[in-house]
Amino acid sequence: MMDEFIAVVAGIMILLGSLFILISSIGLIRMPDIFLRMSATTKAVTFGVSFNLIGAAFFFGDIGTITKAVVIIIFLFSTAPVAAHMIGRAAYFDGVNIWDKTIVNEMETNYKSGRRKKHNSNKTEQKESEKPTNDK
Amino acid sequence: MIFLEYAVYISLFIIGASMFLSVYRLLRGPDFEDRVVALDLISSCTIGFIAVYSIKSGLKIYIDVGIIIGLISFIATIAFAYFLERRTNDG
Repeated sequence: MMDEFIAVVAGIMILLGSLFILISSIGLIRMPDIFLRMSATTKAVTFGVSFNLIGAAFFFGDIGTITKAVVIIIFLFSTAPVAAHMIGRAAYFDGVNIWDKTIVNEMETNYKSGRRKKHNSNKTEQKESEKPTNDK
Repeated sequence: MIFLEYAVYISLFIIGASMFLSVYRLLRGPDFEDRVVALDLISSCTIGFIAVYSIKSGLKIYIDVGIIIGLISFIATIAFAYFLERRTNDG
């Protein structure tokens, strides 16, 4: 009886986590801008992987596995925002295209140094970005 | 227990499919930063995949791999961001 209950709880946790991972990967493809893509991936993937690890910890149930799963969850929750912040800052100063429906841009008023010019090493992508896309 | 077997197979399929979807952004992505974000997503998906696979195989030692992959992906993302912010204009 108890084994059945643990198995059902672990299965539900695993399915929930993998659904969150699928949602974030769809967001990585469909979002129009790198900043929106990062907002889709960073939050949802951390949540989904945490659900998967909680499911594994439920299934095994000994203290060593639970400790390792909690360590990985704490590590993910503390490093994913830092990594996303670093990548977003680098992308802003590197001159990545911002979505043209963006309303608030606080970096523009707070940093006088400004953004770098768009690199001319990838001319084909520039032509692609000039074309009307169906992302809008 | 039969429900758990089906759940493990379904979630392994879903996580594998989402890794394939992010490989699309890794190959196509218009800027270098998009590729870095896609790599970060793939390594995070790998941690979840390993957690599910440890249930399927019954070996709890696979959870240790997740710690190492998390560490390596964090350091790689920070290194890429530092490199992208510091590179010169004509590089």
